[in-house]
Amino acid sequence: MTDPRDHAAPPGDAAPVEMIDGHSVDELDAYLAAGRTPYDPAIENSAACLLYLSALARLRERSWDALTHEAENTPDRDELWITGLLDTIRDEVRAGRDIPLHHPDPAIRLTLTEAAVHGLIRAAADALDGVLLSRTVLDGDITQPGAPISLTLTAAIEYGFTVVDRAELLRATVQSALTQHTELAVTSVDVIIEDVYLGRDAAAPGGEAAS
Amino acid sequence: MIDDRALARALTDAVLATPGIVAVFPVKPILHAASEGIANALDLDEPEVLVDVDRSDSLLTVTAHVATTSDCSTPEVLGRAAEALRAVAELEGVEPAGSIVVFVKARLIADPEA
Repeated sequence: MTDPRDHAAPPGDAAPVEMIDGHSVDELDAYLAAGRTPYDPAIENSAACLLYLSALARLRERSWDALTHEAENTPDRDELWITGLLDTIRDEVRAGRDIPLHHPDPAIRLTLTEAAVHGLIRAAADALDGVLLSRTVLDGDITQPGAPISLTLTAAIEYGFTVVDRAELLRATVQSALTQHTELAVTSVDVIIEDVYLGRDAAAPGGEAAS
Repeated sequence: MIDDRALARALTDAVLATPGIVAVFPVKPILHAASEGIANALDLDEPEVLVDVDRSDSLLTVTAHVATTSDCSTPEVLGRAAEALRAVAELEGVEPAGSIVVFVKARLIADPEA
């Protein structure tokens, strides 16, 4: 379901500004950069804004320096990659479909949002060294209990890590998180490593891979 | 019988007290509610009232949107929250018990260390 507030069209011919619960990504970026002060209840009481802020905070903490350094060296390719990643996160935090959870009492209905699941997957991936998740696709009817779901994770890997090792770890970590927090019948988890990025140390001037 | 405003307040307290629940979000986004001219009816000047209560005919519908913590199983936490909500509604004299439907939705699974 699309929230109409997510597509606020400014006057004139400018492209529509993509909003998250009424807040632009620039506004949320500035709020995070300011240490989430002064406290904004409209942001702090929005699940979508909180999902975006937490993903952005982890991204900045773990890999922003390396990514932006790479983008300076190869701006066309890497700026596009970073922009695409931020766009993906922005799209993920919108609530999306409701995923049912079983409860024996029919008068109790439990669900979690697709956005919560995307946030869970992204947080699990971000906890891994050497992996940067770019996007997740949940393929299947997640609104139907027991429907087979296939999951595709697309990620970049940090230079120096073993691709197969990181891919297996990502797959296992995400699958474990989904088992703990959802009742999705995940039948397959495919991992695609689409890029390699320099780690923070290697990307620094004089670093191992800087030459 | 308790009025809906007081009931919603008691339900909000109950869901927040459920282990594994770390936040409760307004069910009706404030911007939407204001645009529909029902902010006062929803008591939006009381930010602590977040659980939604709706009565139609003989049915009471309770809706809560929450954040859970990732170190607890989300299905188990939501189940406990829903049962706590129903218990409070019953305690507050909503009759009969079978006329209560409880919806609980997890909108965020939060890292406890974040």
